[in-house]
Amino acid sequence: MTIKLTFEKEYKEPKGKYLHLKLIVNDKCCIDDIVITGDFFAYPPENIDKLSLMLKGLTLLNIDDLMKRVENIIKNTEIIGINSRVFKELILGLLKEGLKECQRAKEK
Amino acid sequence: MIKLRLIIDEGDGAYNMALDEAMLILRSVNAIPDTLRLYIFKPSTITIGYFQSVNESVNEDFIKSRRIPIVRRPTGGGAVYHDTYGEITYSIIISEDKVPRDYVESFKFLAKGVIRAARILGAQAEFKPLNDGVIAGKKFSGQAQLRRLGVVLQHGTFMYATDIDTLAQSLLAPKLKLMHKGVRAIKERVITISNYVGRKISRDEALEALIRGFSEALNAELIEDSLTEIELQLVSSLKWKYLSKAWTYLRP
Repeated sequence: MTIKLTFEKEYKEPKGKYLHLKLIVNDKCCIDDIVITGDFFAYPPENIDKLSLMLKGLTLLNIDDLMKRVENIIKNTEIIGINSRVFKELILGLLKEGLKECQRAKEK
Repeated sequence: MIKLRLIIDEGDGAYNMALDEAMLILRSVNAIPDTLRLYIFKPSTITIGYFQSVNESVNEDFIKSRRIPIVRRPTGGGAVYHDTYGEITYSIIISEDKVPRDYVESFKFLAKGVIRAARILGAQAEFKPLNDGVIAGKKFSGQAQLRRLGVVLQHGTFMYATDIDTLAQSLLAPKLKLMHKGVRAIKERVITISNYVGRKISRDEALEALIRGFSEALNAELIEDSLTEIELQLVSSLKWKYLSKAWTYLRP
């Protein structure tokens, strides 16, 4: 049976917008899905979809490569209502948490 | 003084969103002039922001029981209840070089018409960043924006007599968001102009105030016109997207 781990993070920017991240990781430490929702604005909006699609299926074991890919997309996206640096850090933090928990689960 | 074509119409959610998107595309190739559209949603409809999750932002059991349709917008922002009998939506489709480059400033600039319209009707309205129009600290108007190909599409609400009970039962807000706003429920943070002035504002009054409000606030000459053939054709091509479950539930 495939075990899936789910990680979530909610954030509300003071005087800004709301962000909800949900990461689903399988027992091989691969990203099954990452869902990015909220009432923020982003230009171009498709970059947020691109970010999710790009991460799907990738292994968390190459975390440095993932971080570079995330940074590259966010660098080319104007996010309104949430500080771009915070947006990026929240995603990277969730990926790192996913990796840590996944490795711990594998060791058991 | 700027010139704006004025379109006044009504339609369902898919039509309204398809037309806003069609206008953005057609403006970018100079097929239509800068335009202000004032419209109602018929029937009353929920729109949700491009990045929103349906489950997180809408009480689906309630809206199904009331047969209130839901449509995902091409723009970001939050969920809105568009009451046929209490809300008029505006959209402005304008060349990007005519609005401030800064996003917050541009929200404020293009929302000037709704703020002025509320004042015309007797409410001391003001703009509250990032994208709200407020009266006595409560929201009566929310704006959302999309920029593409050198064109800005901003649409927003004007709640002159929205049924607040239905709105509050239809929409959900994350606890974290309400906590930051210092309120317990959505109902505590919204207001209509009728509520504020203590009399029922009619749709005609609201529409007249919006026309005058946008004209004065943007120093614009509004020229009323009808939709072109190419707009109607593009709407029928784009409408399928807004009617599809795949689009509405893009983020379930």
